[in-house]
Amino acid sequence: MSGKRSFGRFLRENAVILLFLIITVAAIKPSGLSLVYIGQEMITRLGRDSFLVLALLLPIYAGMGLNFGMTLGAMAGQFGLILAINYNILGVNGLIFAALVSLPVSLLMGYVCGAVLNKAKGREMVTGYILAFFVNGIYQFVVLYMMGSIIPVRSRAIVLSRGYGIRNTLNLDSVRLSLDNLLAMHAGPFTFPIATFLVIAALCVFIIWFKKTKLGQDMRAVGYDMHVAEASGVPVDRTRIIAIIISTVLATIGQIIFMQNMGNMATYNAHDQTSFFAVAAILVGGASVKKATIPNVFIGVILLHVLFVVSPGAGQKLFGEAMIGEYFRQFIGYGVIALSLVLYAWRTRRETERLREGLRGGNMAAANAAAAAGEGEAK
Amino acid sequence: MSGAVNSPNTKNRRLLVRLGLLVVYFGLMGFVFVTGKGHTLILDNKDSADGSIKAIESLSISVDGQDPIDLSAGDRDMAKVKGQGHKVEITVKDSQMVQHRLTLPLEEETLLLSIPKLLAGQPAVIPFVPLDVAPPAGETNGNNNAFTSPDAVPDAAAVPGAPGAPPVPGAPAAPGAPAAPGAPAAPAVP
Repeated sequence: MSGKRSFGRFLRENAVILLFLIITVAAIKPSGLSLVYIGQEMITRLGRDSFLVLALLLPIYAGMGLNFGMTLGAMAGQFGLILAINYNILGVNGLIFAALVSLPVSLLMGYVCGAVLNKAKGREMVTGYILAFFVNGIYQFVVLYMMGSIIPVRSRAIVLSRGYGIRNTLNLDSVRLSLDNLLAMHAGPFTFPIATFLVIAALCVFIIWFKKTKLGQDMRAVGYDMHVAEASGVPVDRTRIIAIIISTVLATIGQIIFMQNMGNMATYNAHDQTSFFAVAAILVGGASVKKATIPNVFIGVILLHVLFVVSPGAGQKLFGEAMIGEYFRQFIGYGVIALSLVLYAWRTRRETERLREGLRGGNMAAANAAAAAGEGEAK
Repeated sequence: MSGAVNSPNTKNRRLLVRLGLLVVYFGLMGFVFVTGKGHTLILDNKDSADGSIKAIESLSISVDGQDPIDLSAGDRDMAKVKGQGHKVEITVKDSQMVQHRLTLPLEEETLLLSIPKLLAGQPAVIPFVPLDVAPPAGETNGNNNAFTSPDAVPDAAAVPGAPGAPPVPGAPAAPGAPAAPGAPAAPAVP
């Protein structure tokens, strides 16, 4: 009986990841792609996306849910990259220059985002999402109208022929794969971007270290219960703002790493789906709105991208239309986010009901179990 | 405790550390800018403008250890370089290799290196001004706002009846313009 119950609980807790695993494994065969190809794609995409997804962890620790406001950081990163291309700064220098230029912008964006989210406690995710739309307007104004007219642009290759505004697509040849190829290692049929992996590993180490610091402990306390943390003397608002600032800065660097791997940039909409895919990846990896770990990031990136790689081929084979696979990507991305949010809401409601029942003098053991489960979730 | 945290000494030290970080930040930005700045070097093996220095019949040139480029008299080629200081190795046919060091101006993107002048010991690097480049095919003149607002007023060329627009069926054609199908013919101009 207890085994059955624990199996049921395992299924409930890992519904998203299991569902995704089944769909992905089922789609590999019909896609017709070799395992070597899929493996190489996974290595490349791990380097490309992991940093962005890791940027989501700190706000989750601080109880602010999935930071859809990371798009602000992505926009700052793109602004830095535009300047690096404008001044023709090549290679890793170009990436560092882009990161340094965009750092003050992302700090400001993070502060503004954190301050706004503090005004909307409990509704951080939707507020962050809408804030990203708002800042997108400012970004478009700056890049489309101010660059070349107020902000000087030297390179004629990136400016629209009317004399101001940046072209729709930028060629990032000068920084393309500069980090990935810095320490590329070949092993059998695979190529590993070691430098990119080292940067990602450094971020993982930073996150592990940060969780042990006073600020990290404060963040977890705020994430567990804001009111208790406030009563214990933790500056809740400040801690939440710091979490968002760090996340925004990491998203900036993550977007620069992402773009150097892609090799070109859709100036006006490359950032649109940054948060969406990062959130989908971390949820696919088994994280929830309140709980996320570093392994969730890597599992999520691998699973989501295996599906992204195999779905066009599988769509072509099964339905005779590769576009079905493309639509499938969108459907899966949004579907995973929706499913995991619904599951989270359902689980929270169940636990609250159990707790309430226990307090009414019902099954006390159930109430204790529910409380324990809630604690586990928050960790 | 709080007195020590807010003492003038601590405040000064904090200010110094912050200023130091700011200096490091801008210093690092300047460093990556200078060391990462890309230049296009046009390798030119032509006679000088006044004809006093003649092109070299055949030579091989390598910039910063890149693959050597063979040039005959009158040839030009291009090398992409990063940073300000560069090593140029030139091997003239049937003679020994000669090494030269170049320092490129930071603000110039494209520079012309006259190899005959370099070998003659004269100033050999001058800014290269390219001819106007036509916009890529498919790009509009930038007056089209369709990207930001799909309902925006389109280009004049796309507005029927506007100067330069294609003729509208049924409308009188402008003198000298091809008549649209079904439109009354314009009176002939003697």
